[in-house]
Amino acid sequence: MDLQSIALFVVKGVTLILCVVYLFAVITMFRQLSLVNRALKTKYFPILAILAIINIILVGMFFILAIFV
Amino acid sequence: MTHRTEQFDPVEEKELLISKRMRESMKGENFRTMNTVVLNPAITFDTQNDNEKVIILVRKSFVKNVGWILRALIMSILPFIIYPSLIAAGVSPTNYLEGPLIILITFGWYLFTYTITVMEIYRWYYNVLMITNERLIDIDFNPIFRRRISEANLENIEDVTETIPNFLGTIFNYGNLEIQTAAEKREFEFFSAPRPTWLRDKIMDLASIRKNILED
Repeated sequence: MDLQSIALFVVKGVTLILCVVYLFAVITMFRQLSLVNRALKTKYFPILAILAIINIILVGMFFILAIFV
Repeated sequence: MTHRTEQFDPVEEKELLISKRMRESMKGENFRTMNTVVLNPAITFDTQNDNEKVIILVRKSFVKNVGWILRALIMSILPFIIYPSLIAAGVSPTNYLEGPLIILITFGWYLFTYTITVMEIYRWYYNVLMITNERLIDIDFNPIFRRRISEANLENIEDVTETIPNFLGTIFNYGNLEIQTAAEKREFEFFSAPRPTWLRDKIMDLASIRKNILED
């Protein structure tokens, strides 16, 4: 294993760990959103929830891309 | 012939009267503040009591959103500036990075931009001060880390202080509100409230309507 491949391995590992943290953060954001909706129910909640779901899907896609690139 | 008269509980009757008086006091108030001050909003919440109605809903002044909107716009156009600039300077990114990696980095950049933009939307939308005919509810919301919801009965409000923090507050008419309640060291703070003078006056008016009727 040369130095370049070790560096690539480390960068990829760190990226994947960050992706997992990112994924947890956006899932937490969705959970926070659904909980705060109990304290303030508005008609725009479905739109805001869709934005959060899109975010989770995009982070998931990024995670998969990061594995294969 | 029997007459059925509706029997009202005196407390319930007072609550209905308070609600009616408060709504009457809001008549004639009509202004557009980009959804930052909403009068009689059509919203509900889980802990709402039977006769409880939301009278005023306050969000931070829309001016406070300008910063993150600009940041999101700059972040969105930045790759369109950086890549052509690098190529124009004779430093092609493809010489150093593989094509799929460039796509991944760009995708990550836009994903990050999207996430922080959505977070800011949530932060603005759910950081509210609600004044109902019974109480004052302050929702302090951070989309990821924390959520603090505090409330105080309107009859316990002692005084409201309005502070204009800087010259922008003077120009765009927003300021901070500090609401002191009867409880020891209990203070609500709401930053960057639009129309702070009107709000300060209205909170005290609504509190005194409630106090007067309850004391009668």
